[in-house]
Amino acid sequence: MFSGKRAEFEALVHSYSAELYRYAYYLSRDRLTAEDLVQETFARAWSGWMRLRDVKAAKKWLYTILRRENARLYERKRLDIVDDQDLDALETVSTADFADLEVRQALEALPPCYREPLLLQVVGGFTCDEIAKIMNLTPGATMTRLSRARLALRKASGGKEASA
Amino acid sequence: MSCLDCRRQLLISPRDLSRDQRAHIASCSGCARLAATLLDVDRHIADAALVPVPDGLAHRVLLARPRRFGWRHAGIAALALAVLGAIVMLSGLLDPPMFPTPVQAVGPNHPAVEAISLVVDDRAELKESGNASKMKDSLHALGLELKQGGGVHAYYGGKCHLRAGDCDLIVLDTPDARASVVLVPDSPVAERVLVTDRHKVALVTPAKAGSYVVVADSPKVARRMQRLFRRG
Repeated sequence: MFSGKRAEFEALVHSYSAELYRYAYYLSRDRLTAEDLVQETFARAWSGWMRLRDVKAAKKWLYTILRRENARLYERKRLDIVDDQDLDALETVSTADFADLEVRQALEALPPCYREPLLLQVVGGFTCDEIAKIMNLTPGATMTRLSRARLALRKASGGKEASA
Repeated sequence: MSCLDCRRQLLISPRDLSRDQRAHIASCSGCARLAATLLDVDRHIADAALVPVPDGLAHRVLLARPRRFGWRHAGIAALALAVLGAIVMLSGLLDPPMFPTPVQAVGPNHPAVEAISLVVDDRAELKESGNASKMKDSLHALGLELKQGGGVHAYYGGKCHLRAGDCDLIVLDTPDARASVVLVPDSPVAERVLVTDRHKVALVTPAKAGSYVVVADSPKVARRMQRLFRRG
């Protein structure tokens, strides 16, 4: 039984270590810290692995552990203010505007409270409800953050355009 | 569905469109443009998120997994040991560790040094040797009793003399060790002292009246023999 659980865990590590590393990198914006976070996440996951009832929920569980570890070990106070959304401004930006956008920089410049749900959705493939559970938010707050994250990216793009 | 509702939904999740949204987008060029733009943004985000992953990350994770004994665990273990040690010590099962003091530190006139000389040089008088009632009286005079049983054989070795005055010698025999005990009625001590000299150790222990010195080959035997006495 133990060897079966261990094999499952090893498969989990191989499946999710890269994905978690990328998520950790965007949380910490530092490669060494990201790797430490992944290591710590799996170490904690292993200590609770025998108690995990539903292996299908493992992915969400891993992301939750990683977020918690980041908050516990590395997170510092950040400024999390962005303007309210302006739906009318959306129509003025085209697909081509984003083609040259350095999305990575824009993503890194996003406040963590908006970057995280967006990454969980786009990279992790989680639904709004799942993101809400991972981040300990209400579904409404999660939707708001997702909207504002996309708006902030659009605004960053618009600003670059204007200054160019 | 209105354009506002559609755009709100698109901003939340441009990939998961409801039937109403799809119908609206099919008929509204503005919302269709926004949907395409946001999908493109998501694609760029997904691409941007593909930062290079260090080689062998999964392997390192699996190698590191067994070492889950962090500072927190070490702290808990140390605390548990300290609590256990305190409980054992309080219950009298284990004495705090003692380290032998060399004779130079206590001086040649210390009762422990004298008792070692007495035993090594075999200076005890054999008068009344083997007198059990005399041994009991001598122990009683110091407020001591000798525990019975445990394969311990005790016999009175006779009178002897130290600088502190007249003393009594008791010899304790167990199946695996032997020790001599000098009862010193006129020499009270404040605390236990373990002294080593001439390849012997002497453990001086305070009694109700005076003190007693256990002379043995090792600190372990001395401690074990000393525990055979209790206050009467």
